[in-house]
Amino acid sequence: MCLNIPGACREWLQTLHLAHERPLCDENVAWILDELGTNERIFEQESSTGFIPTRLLDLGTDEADDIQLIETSTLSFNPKYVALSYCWGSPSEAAQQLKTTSSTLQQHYQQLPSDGITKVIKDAVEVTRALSVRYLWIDALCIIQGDDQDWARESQLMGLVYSNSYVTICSLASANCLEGFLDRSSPIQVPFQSSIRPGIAGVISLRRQPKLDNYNYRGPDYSSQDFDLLLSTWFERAWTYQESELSRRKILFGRSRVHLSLMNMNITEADAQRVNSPTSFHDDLRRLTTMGDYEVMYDSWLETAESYAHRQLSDQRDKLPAISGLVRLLAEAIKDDYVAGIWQNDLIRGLLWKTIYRVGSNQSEHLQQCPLPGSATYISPSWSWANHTLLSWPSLTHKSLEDLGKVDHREHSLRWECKSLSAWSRPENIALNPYGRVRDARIYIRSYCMRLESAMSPVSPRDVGQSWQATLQDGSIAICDLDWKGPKEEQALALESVSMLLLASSIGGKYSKQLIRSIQRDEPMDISEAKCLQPAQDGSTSRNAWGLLIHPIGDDKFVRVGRFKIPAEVGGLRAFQACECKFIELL
Amino acid sequence: MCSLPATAKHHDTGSILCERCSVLAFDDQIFRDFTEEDDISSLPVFPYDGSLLNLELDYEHTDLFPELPGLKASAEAGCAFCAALREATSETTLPNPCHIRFHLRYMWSPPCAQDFGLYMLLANMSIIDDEDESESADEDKSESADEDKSESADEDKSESADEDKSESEDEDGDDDEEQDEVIPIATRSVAFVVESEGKKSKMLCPHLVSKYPRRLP
Repeated sequence: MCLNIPGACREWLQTLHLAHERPLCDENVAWILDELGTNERIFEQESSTGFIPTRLLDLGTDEADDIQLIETSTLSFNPKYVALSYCWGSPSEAAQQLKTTSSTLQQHYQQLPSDGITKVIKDAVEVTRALSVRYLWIDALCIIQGDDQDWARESQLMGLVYSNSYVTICSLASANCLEGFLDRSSPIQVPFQSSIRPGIAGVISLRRQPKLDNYNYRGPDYSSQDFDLLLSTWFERAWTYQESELSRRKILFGRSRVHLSLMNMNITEADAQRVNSPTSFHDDLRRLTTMGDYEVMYDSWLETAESYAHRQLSDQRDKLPAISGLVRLLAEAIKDDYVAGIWQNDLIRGLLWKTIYRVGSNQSEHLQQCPLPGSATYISPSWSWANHTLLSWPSLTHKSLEDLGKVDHREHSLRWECKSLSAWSRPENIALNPYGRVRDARIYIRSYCMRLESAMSPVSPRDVGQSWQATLQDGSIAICDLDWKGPKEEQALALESVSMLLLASSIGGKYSKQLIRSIQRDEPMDISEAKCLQPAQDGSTSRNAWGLLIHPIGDDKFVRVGRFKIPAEVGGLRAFQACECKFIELL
Repeated sequence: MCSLPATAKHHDTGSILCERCSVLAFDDQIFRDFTEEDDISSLPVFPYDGSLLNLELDYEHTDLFPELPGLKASAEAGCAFCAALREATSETTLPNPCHIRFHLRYMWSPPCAQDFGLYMLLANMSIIDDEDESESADEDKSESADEDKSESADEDKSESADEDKSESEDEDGDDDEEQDEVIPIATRSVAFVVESEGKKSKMLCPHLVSKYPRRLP
């Protein structure tokens, strides 16, 4: 007996609901409009800034209407607009894209040439029209490409463009401007017949997800939304980071499903579940204004830098510009100065990054590659994270132990150990985008500095990004993280002309005891000495030392080549007591 | 192992599948012990213990990348799954040429989707550079090796204590003794999420379509 009861198969096997054949079918459009409508009131409360982009595409009121570029200053009302977040693709793909340039600007004010419109833009127009919205913002068409002035000015407004869009279309399913995102491949259909309940039969559909090249074995960890999002090219690109972070409402067109991200709620097509999303940039901003806790924003920034650093760019010099829209909003909220990716009032923590993905196999190779101001490949100074792709930050807070929550095991009571510390940067165009490209940036420090003479050995256990340990003259043990790869493990490593520059100190830390144990195990010579030291107890006031490894490039000028920490249990600040204080300029 | 001849077989419903891919028809026999005979309405009760239930399919196919002639012949004979698997494999970055051994498994209620039952079909590819790869490769063993690798990869990521590390070293040690002669040089996966038609949820309701008819601004 084979009764094909609709739905019986799904209920029995507890599968996902079948996605629609087309992403922009009537059912999906109705669903999207319903969710946007339900969410409208909260959305309007939060986004009432009155910002309007300089230019928008006017799609007209009929599908047959021509599309034209307009200057919004000509409008007498605040237009509701949709923004598009998509990948341009390789330079050759991007070159085929219709763009507004100074030579096509007047033509685009009349009408966009319909034959030049690429697939991704066609699809975005179709979605915008389906949502009954008349205006659409697309960077390639609303910013004058090739006009440096317009580009610099508009790129720092991008944060506001996405923050204030009615909704942002995210083209997860398209890897470049030539690919659309509204084509959905058919699933493979396989018959099912229950051998336990003869009455249950039907068809199950197998829908292929993006390949798992770099995510071996992670398949089971991925939900259908993860597949669509985390494995998309869109999610790998740098420019899309702030576009996504700042958009309050997003429609994500994945390869297999449409997903809605509405403020703090994620909903997937044909899936009854509503999943709360992690806090957004806007949530953090709200917490700052309601609670006045500035460290929340600085913490949020460090997390942002960490997630953003590995995003890919066609032009590496866009590393800072591609996030400058978000930085501008943050700068206005925290009223702090920004120097090449780091906030002045959080300078110490901002300098103590560790790079995990390293290039350059030895010190001299690293120094050769270290870009100096004036060179064509200069992105940021040696002390900025912006030159690197994979980062981690130490768990440090300025807060005292009393102000930390019980579950917060960060090293606390962070304080300066240097006599003076200041930083400046010279943006390429301070008037148009002070948070964009930098020509030069420096740090001036007066602090304790000593040569690192001793050879280093690898710290065990190996974690991502090898650390090295050096026993200093007074028996203190420094844990060093280099900005280059270093030799393969088990080899000793001697650095040339490297000094340790003390920046700060902190108390406590969750991992330090574990690390100390491993250091002691690895280097039996030091056990007796380390045992003599008092291990840090809760409430201990002995301090861990934190600083940078620096290398001279002439005239008291140095570049950063790594960072170090001396845990309190193996010396802390002791080694610097007999040290002289020096003035250092870091490039 | 050579590719099997693609015997096209048309089911009453569904895509055309070859004989080898007919194993994709899910067999719920394993749930017999967890369901009450008389209770028509009850769902299979899977004793969820926090671990993933892998339902290994009786499927093994080895093919030569990048052409993948075995899958190609079957796809050309009409098999929809061979075609999809070939397409997915072609998009993967692999040493060229290399042998790939394919295994399939269904996953029941994986950690990312505990509200679901039959969630995903995972096609695992073991990349083997050994030309005369023998039939002796024991499926179970190669599977357990896969899982061990997965675990130790996870350990690498965590800031794990040295205790963990020594444990994993022990495991690796045991592993080496048991390991087969054909050791994959790399592995890749392609996932197929399982869907089926069911009761209309809110977002599938036709009444919304009449509430929001297509209209232009």
